Amino acid sequence: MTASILTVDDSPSIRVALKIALTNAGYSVAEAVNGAEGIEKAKASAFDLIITDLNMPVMDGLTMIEEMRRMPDQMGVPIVFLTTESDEGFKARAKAAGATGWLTKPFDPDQLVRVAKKVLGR
Amino acid sequence: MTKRLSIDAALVVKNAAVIRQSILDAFEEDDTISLDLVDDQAVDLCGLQLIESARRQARAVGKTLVLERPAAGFRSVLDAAGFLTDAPSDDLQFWFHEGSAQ
Amino acid sequence: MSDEAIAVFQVEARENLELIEQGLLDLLDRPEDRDLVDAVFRGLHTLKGSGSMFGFDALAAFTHHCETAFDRVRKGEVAATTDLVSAVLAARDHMRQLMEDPSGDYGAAGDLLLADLERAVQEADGAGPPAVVTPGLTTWRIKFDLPANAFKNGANPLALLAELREMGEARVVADASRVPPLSQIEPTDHYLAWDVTLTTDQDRATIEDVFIFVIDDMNLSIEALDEARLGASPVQAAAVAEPVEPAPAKVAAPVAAPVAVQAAAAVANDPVEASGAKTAKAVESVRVPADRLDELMDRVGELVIAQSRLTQISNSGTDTALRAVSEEIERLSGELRDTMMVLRMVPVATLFGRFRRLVHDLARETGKAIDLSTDGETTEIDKTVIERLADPLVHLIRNAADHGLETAEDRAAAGKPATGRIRLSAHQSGGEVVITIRDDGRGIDRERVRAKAESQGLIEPGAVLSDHDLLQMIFHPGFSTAAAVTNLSGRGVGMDVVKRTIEALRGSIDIASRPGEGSEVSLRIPLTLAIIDGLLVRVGQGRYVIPLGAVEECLELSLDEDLRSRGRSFISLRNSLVPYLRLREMFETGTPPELHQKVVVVSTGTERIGLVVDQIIGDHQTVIKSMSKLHAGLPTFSGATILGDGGVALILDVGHLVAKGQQQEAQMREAI
Repeated sequence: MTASILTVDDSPSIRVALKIALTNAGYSVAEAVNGAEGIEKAKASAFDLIITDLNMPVMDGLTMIEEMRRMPDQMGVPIVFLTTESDEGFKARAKAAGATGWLTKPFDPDQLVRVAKKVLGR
Repeated sequence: MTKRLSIDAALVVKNAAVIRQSILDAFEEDDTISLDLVDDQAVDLCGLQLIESARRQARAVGKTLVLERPAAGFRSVLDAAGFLTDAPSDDLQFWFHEGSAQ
Repeated sequence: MSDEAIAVFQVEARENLELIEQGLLDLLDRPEDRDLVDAVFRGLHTLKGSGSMFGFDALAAFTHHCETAFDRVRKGEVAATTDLVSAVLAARDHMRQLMEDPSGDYGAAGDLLLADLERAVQEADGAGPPAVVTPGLTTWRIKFDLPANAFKNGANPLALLAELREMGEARVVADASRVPPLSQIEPTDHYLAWDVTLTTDQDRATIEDVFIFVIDDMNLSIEALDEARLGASPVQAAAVAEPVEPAPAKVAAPVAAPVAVQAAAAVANDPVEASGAKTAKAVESVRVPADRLDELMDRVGELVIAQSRLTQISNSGTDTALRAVSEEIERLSGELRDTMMVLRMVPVATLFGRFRRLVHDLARETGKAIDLSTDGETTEIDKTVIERLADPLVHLIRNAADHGLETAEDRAAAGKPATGRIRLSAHQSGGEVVITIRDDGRGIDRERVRAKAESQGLIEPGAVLSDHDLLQMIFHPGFSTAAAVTNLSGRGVGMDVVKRTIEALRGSIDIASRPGEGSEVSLRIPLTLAIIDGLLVRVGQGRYVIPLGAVEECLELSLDEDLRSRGRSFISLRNSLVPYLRLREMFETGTPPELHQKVVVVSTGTERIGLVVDQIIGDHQTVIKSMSKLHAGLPTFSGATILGDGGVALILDVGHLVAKGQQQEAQMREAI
């Protein structure tokens, strides 16, 4: 079965990049532009993996992860956040909030797919 | 008497708390509990851990826990997780009803 | 791949290439600066990654080589020598080409650049390439548990085990001994542990990498049981080798030593230091495509126009309530327009930044030492203006480097420091931005300018000219004082083109020069292009806008005077004769001259002419619309605007009209 991935990022270019790389790797991809929309989409359908940016308007990634981990349905759903090498503080906070892993920006498609496979186990 | 407890929900982390409570409740009702698992039930390691925990509970309180049917569908997950490597015979008996007859 | 996605990529890639260039140029000054090295490396890495993601394979492949070479600088294996940095600079230009034109065939050029780069790397590398040893097979004993929150947080132990299995021959034994009985279990906590025996050619760091997401909060021990090296001899890596997979950010412990990993310090030697400021900055701005901004500008323009119609209607009636609302809308749309203007402003730093590279190249080509300093980079101008200023400034800086600055010997002889200075500065002055390009070179040679102007027939031999007027000669079309045409300047484009470009921006250009001390060119540019204050006039049935900045005064032209001057179109203005154009004739309105025609005297700073119109309607703030393709070829007009009543008025191009008037004057003179 195709694993389904939700990407949450306010940057259209990152969303496009994620979608292309993940689709090419055989995953099905849904998109949200901020944390609030991410939660709405995750409520509406179950995803095997959520990839999210941290800095976003309306609701940032950190808040989204915290909220999701409080939702019984989202328990155990892997959430990978995108981060830059420079924000170690964010990394620690995101992990504390319940993130599964991270992907350091900039990344190329191989790295992205590697992380998706790593977290999904397939 | 045997209490048959059928578990329809997926044996995964998000259902762990609910399943735990229903098994605990079943232990209150009877001395022997038979878990009825659906053949192609979704399971993750948290679910397997919960069953392991239930076996321990049974041992601790002197009750019996069995599976209604061999959990053939769990074999690949159990194997991948390393539960079947050097597994003692009572484990194989519990999961697959292999070895001594029930 | 959608065109839009590619366009987004290209915009980002351009910015990235810009940053790479700036970083490299800074490195020339501060080759030891680790932050710069890291910044350039990151830029190359990003470009490679996003390039391959968007299907720019040639770009990704080429950049990969540069990244690999630069990685050696980053690791401190080779120094950032001038040659090496220059080679990467040249390679950067190639990347730009590959990015802008991905279908082009540049393979050969790219190979040459890479060969240069490799040579530079080798020269910078005294120590020679380090030996890389191919590892044999090792059997590892890996024991681990996972953080209690592993299940809740989506860590998948099965995935970790699968990864270990992929590395080689693995035997996995689960340890459920710590799982508590049901009554005591926290059902979603993780209590399992594993004991894995793995035979693999992978090293310890790669095994640790499997656990990268959880390693901080877990127990992990990796122990080498034996080393079964399979007779592979050490292999020398090529000078520019394929990069080794980035190892996790920790120092690999020596083989065969059991290590319990508590990797809290895992990030300690991360090459990129945390910079919270950068992150904070990113939050403050939102990237908006330029065309969306233009679209918004159009809407605001239309709103301003509709508002002025509303004002006309409300003023012509007696409805005070309507008038109050109309005034409120007038105020709001004015504020909206001002806000919009600010949105379009970008700092000139984006413009000035490009010239550092130019000066670097110029210095290399001319063999002159040149120091470029900039000032007032935070001054902001309309983005359209910035774009159009680039070419003229390039020309002016080339002129300064090529003609202005002397050779080192000449400078020494003149008692000047060997390094020539070019200073680029910007500041705002009222509604204008003044940009000056100053050099401390030899200054403009008046005699040569005069000789050239005379030989070109621009002035009479021996004509008496003020110094200012003489210097203005260099703006005449075709004028060039370069005795020898060099590679850099004196080709094709002249100062006249620079002047025309600046005037098309409704700006002005001026030059000052002291022999032996240097020259200074000043550009005065209006802050924004999109809205101008104009004088609305009528010629025949048509209405036209004359940019108010160019208007000097308005005079009455009586019918008598008009008829009297029929032969030669001059009016007398405070003892000087000013040529004028009858717009009615020019535009062939077919209407008779009106009784009280007006002359609007306009100037471009140095020249002036009169424009004869039928009526002056009044001041008019105008939103410029670019002309349709159909009319774009008409040089007399610079744009069009929509009037309050919905009609259209064309905006007169004063520079063009002045040139035309001067031409007419010259013909008149000949005729006499």
